[in-house]
Amino acid sequence: MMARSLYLREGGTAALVSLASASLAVAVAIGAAGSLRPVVLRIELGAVFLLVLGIGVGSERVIALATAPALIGAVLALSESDRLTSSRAIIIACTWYVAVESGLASVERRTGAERTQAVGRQRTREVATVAAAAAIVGAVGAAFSSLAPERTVMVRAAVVTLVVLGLVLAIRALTESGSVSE
Amino acid sequence: MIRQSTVRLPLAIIVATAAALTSIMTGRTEAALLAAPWAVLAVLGLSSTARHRTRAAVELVADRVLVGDDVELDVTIETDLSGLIEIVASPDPAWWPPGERHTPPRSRVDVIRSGQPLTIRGELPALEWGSHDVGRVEILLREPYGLVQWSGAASEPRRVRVHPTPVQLQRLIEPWMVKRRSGTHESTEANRGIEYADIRPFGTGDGRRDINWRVSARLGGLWVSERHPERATDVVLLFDSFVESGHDVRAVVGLGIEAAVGLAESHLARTDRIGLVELGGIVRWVIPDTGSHQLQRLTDALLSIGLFANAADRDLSIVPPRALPPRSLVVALTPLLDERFIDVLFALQGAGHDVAVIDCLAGKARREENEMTPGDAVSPDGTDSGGRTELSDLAHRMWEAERAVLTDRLAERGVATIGWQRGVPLDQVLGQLNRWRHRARRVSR
Repeated sequence: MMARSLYLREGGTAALVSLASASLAVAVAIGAAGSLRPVVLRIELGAVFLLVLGIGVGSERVIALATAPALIGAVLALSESDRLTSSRAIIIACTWYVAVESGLASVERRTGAERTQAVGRQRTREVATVAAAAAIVGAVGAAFSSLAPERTVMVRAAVVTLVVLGLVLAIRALTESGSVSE
Repeated sequence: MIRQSTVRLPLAIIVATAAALTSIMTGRTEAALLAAPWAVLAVLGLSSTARHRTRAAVELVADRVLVGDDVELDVTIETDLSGLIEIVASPDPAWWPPGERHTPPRSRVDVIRSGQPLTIRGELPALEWGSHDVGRVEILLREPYGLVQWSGAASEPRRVRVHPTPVQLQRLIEPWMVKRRSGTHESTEANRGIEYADIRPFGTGDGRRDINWRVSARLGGLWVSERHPERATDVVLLFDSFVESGHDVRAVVGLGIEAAVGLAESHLARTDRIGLVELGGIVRWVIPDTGSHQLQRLTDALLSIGLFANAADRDLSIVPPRALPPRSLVVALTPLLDERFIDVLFALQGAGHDVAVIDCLAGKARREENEMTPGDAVSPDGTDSGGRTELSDLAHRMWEAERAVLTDRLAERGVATIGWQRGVPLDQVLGQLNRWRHRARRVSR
């Protein structure tokens, strides 16, 4: 009898990881939605649809675009939630980030490039680093906000300064130049 | 190198900024927490924005390959950045026209560390024979976390020679004249050799081993066997590169080059000396010689053949006598279109060379003729479904008749002409040529 095996096409594993991770994020958001559950459900399903569409057609932009409804839905859901909002927010953020990165990896793998195993390990390490750092930063931020619930003008000013600093960094990164010689 | 942002950079910046502003405006921490991974990604990904220097060197693993093999390139990269490096060979479009029947070469991705040189081997399928420029190697260096990438190219002219697939020939054109060197062609003279020729009475100088004892016992007296010695010959491939061959280089000149390479390999394997004379817009020659180096010289010369328009008179007066040794076998590879080349064929035959012609256009002309079958509809204005008119058909038939007359003229001088078309084994063509030559020789005797 001929043995049958299931083979995933290149990038298939990354796509499955992406879908699983997105499903977890959506489930947590819907679970926290309360009375806004129908609205959040529609928004989150729209986000998953965009993610799947992006992976299917191989468009990185569509995958990136899926983040907008996913996070808007999560904000709405968490605004209705009255407990464990910080931990849920961190879980949704990290799992959705993993979903997006896995989706992008799936598209990148489908270009047909030959990748060494070190490349896969390096990308996994990077995603894990970001997710872990975000979880730690989020936990510290949540703890800080619970200690000082009343935000002052100074705190808001600090946040705005950080945002501006980030934008400056981004602009500088795009205007840097390098050289290649033979 | 040019710096480019990937889709991750605008995504991270937009999400982090929007979440921060939402958090400030609504006074809720959750919005900021939702954007935490993107903010962390932006900070980590943009932390290595220093200027950097990347060095890339491209080396060909082998500068000679066969059609169907892969041209291998070793790309050594050294950079100040750590990240992922991707290389992809971007071949010269003249050699590798994009699309059609081949897919673009695959790129290779690996991890590179700052200050540590990395060598990546790229492959490029050698699809067409010839002498080609390898083209550029495009390099994509992606910084850690994939927000930013650098793209550049290493382009240094490197040529690779792609040899045609060797044709294994079982038979060769048997020369009418041989040299006084040992070889594998049977000589007509009677001397010491392997093939039996005749018997004659024992004479002065004959050795005891030459005595044919069986015949001597039957006829009485001493008789000796004479044998045909095996000799080598000089073969000169006369290549027609006049521009009249047309612009379809692959169909006509390519066929000639494939035949020339096959003949060169086979004659060299039989210890013949073989040379080349290219007669066309440019006149070039390779003096006959033996050995594997000669095959390389001949292949290089054949691969560099190009069609150049030249209206000047061309003859063999500028070719040194060493390139055309007397009484050598001249194998002309030609579409028989240029009068200058045809005159040279007659001149060579007149000068005592043994000339044979392989017509590389015959098959093509016949195919074009067959495109119009007797059942094709002809419109009242004399145009058939293929757009050919009766007049053009008549002209084609006249041209074919002229070629037949030319072939007959050559045959009268003892020059055999055989047409070769793609898909027919060269062995078969050489067999026909040998049969014709054998018949012609018997008649001339």
